[in-house]
Amino acid sequence: MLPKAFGSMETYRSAEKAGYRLLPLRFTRLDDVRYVVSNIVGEFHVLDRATLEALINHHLESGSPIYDDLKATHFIYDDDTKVAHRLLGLKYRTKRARLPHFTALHMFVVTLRCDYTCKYCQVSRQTEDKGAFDMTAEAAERAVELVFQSPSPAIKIEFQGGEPLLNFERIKQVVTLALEKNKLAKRSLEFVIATNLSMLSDEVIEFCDANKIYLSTSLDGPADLHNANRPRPGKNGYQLTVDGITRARAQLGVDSVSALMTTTERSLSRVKEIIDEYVRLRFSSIFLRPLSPYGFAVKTGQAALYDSTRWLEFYKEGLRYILDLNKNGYPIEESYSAIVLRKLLTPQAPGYVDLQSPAGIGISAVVYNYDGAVYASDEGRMLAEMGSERFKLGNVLTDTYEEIFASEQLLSALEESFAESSPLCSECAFVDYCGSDPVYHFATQGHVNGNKANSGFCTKNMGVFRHLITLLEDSPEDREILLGWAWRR
Amino acid sequence: MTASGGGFSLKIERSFYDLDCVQRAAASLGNLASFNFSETAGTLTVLISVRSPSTLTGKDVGDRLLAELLDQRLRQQVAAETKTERDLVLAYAFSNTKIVG
Repeated sequence: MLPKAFGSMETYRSAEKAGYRLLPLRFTRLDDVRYVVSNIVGEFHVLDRATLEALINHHLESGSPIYDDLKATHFIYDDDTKVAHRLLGLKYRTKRARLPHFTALHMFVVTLRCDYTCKYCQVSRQTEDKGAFDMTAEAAERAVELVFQSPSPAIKIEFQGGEPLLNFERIKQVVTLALEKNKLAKRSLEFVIATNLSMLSDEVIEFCDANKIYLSTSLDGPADLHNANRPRPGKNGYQLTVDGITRARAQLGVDSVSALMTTTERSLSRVKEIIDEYVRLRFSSIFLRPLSPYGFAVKTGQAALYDSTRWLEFYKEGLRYILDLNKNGYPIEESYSAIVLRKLLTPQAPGYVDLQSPAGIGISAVVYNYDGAVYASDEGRMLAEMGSERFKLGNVLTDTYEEIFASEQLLSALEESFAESSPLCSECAFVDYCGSDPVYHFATQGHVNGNKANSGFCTKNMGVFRHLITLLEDSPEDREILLGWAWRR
Repeated sequence: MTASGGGFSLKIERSFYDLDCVQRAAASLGNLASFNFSETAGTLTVLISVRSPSTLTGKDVGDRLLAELLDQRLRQQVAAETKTERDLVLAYAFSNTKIVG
């Protein structure tokens, strides 16, 4: 008779008899009866109150399914093995592997001029004929030099405005210069033009085609809603956008153009129509974005017309509709949910600037303004247009890379807003999926950290986290779709 | 819990909850009410003033504060028990990197 390859189950359980110890964990209420419990790297379980208390008071029974689950996911450990600490350390480091790469996204504001007069504009655009608001060739050249001093192996250069195509010559200069420098630097280099597409000439399309440049546009929904949100002389903004999408796709490919929507008060009751418009135009994703409290959105009062709680209702209604579209055979994802799901369910750390701690400002994204000023984020330069230079890091024309990226302006904001050591955030089960967004809190509360109990950012994100986790827990059909979004990329 | 004047007061035995625990619980409800603390002979009195406009009463917020206190005490237990583990995990995470000398 051959010897048995394995001992009895009791053999393997014997080490558990001495009890277990806790590993670092956080918990937050999911609803009236359940808690989300997460470990130091964001892996989570949903437990009822009795199980949570049993876990913390060392009353879980060896051999029970929940004991094994919590041990396998490093919430507890026992005499069986001490490998949990090393594995958690490895996971922790993996989740933060992006940090040494430093800045990947470099935004060039090549002009503040714009042909639109959107009341919600977060940028404080200037009218078309004010050439003083164009980036100079010298500033562009200096900015490109700074871009390639970033250690990031992947560089994305995004052209912003105003309407950046109003200064197409500067875009051509930056792209040509960057491609030339990259022959030696050998980074993974991408270009994106964030444009309303009204200036999309054949010359622009050919240049994009020759240099593999993506286009990102704004589409707020059906024609009447889009034109009301985004007024333009001639009242033809919607038609120009749709025509531009069609022409760009014809030459550059369907995936060459993405679109973003902004939620205004008049959008709130029309989320299904907005999503239908994206489906009609064959988009495979939609980003349900709230208004940001910057620029004209503040000056015109647009940002105050609804709060995070109302936006959450809009988001939940939209997400329900999107999930139902998926069930009925049209694959479309909600982009913000997809980012959060990747943070919730995968070891990946998406580089989404708003959901990072340390904050993504400066170290994930940076803005080179039309006048050479360098800002820690797009919102930072929007705040500067409103009179605050808290997030101005320097100027490409006068300052070195070290002076800009090691500036006290940046380092103090990063240190003071670090979520893991911020009141309320430090004990929140969602902290690993969230961010600190110092610019938002400075703009709304006057401090980079902010009081999270009164933070619209916190209300919005806690609402999104709770809603997605509830769907994952309670709806197997939705869970299947959401898992697909998390693992798609 | 008692209603008094413009607010609602809650008495908490310090032998059950320390001040840090109570303050953390109150901070998490800062969007609903403001809290004023006073202490006499081992009893902490928390005066709750609900922010207006609100559909909540002082008692509603007091009930939430009590529930939050229970959570905070569990969090204190976890923090105390896992401090060494947290330091060890972070030491493993940053060992062999240039971040620590």
